[in-house]
Amino acid sequence: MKFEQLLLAGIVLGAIYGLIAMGFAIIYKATKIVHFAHGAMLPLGAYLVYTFAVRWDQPWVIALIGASAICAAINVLMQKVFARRMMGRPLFAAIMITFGFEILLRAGMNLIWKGKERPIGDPWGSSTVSLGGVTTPEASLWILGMAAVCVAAIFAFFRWSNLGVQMLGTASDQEAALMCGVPVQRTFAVAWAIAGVLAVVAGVSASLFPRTLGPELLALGMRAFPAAILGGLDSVGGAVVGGMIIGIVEVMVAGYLSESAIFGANFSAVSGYMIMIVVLMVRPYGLFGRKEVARV
Amino acid sequence: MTTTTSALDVRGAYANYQNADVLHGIDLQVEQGMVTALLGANGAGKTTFLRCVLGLMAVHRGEMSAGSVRVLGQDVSRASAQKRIRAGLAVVPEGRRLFADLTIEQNLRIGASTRRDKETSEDVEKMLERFPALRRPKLQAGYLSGGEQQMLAIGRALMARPKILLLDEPSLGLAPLVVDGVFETIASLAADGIGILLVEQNAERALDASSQAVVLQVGKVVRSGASADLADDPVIQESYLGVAS
Repeated sequence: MKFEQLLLAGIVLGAIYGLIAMGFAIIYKATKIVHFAHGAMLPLGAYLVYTFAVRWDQPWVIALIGASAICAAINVLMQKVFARRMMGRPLFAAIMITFGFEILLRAGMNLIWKGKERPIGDPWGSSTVSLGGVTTPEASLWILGMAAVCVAAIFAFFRWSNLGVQMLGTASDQEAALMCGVPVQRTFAVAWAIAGVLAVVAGVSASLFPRTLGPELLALGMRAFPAAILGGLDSVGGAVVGGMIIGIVEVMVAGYLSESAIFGANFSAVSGYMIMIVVLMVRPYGLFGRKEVARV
Repeated sequence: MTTTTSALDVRGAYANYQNADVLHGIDLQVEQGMVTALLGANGAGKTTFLRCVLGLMAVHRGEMSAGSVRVLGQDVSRASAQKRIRAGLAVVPEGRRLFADLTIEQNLRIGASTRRDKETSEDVEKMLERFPALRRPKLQAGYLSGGEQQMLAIGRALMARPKILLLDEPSLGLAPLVVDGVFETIASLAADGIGILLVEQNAERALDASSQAVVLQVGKVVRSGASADLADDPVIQESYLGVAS
């Protein structure tokens, strides 16, 4: 029974990691920038949902939509104002800029929400459901549901929408896309906007279960980063798979090895990075990545 | 100066990359339903000229510093590539530049990026019909042979429903028999009323396939006129057709 319990918890954590990793991946795929401020968008999204839902007493759907709109807009602004100028510059410079964004976002959140823990005010509270003998918070099912909707929406976007196909084309050969009349800048902006929405969903999910909403959510982005690398930084589908692997492994390691004298209690926190390193030794471009992906 | 009725009308085009001047006042016209050949050796400025026509100089940190580009009478000299394509241009780039990891169908759809109508899917079907090599729409473009890729590149450009088609070295790297197919396609597009600017190193084929021709040399027009006359010009024969004088 312990295994099933851990597996379910791992899948839920994996779904959250997958959501975060998809954000990294879609930005990297479209614009070749590793957006290190993506992690800071998670608490921002969650704090915004808290503000809408708890402080202003709005329905949850409104809170989610409002927070998504704001985070998408912030991401597009970052892309337009700064990141756009970094295109084609050394990768190192672009990474430094996104670190700068991260500091800005963090400071801004401290200013507004004082770095305190907040109740996110989820409609499911502490109610639990039983799944084949495994008892789990109802919220965890909602997390899985939201993640599934996001994954399906993104796959539909790439499969059927013109802009999605244009985004793939731009990622494959930017100048050729320009020669076809693709609105290249729009594909960039939309990729960043999608990542903003994903950050809200991931941030809210992480605040529901297993954590609460607080500044420590900042660390979650870096915990999910190996998932993006593992899947292949430019593969949105790979991000989901990578997230699942890292999530399940982390929970299993925490569940079975935390009492082990060799590994110690916090080994689970680095287990994701361990997997990432091992996989990168065999497949330097990740499980589903394209070969020419740069080193980060 | 005559009034412009040409499909594509470029006048006095000067272009440079940072501090290197590449084009020095190029005039060139393409008429509807006609093929104009643009000839010249490597480095003569042919590809730069196409970039000026398409508005892509900035991508290469260059600019068209003077001159005008008109598409069907509309001045697009300062317009984005997107607006120029919407005005009636399309390009088949050198080396084809297909989206190799996307499918044939996706490549074709991207070709219709500037269109606002709802007939894209019908046009995709038409392209699959027109080019038998493309009848596996779910196949990744990278798996096509060179000749098939060239057909897809042409099909992708046609998806924009152009009035003027720019072809940059369409015969490069293709087997002679395949080149025949490419030139047949070019002739049939001209017969459909599309104005064609054919940039070629293969001067013999290009002069044969075109009615007008312009010869560039280090960024200047050194000869222009009817292709048949140029083919008889001893200087052209010696420099571009490999005929000993």
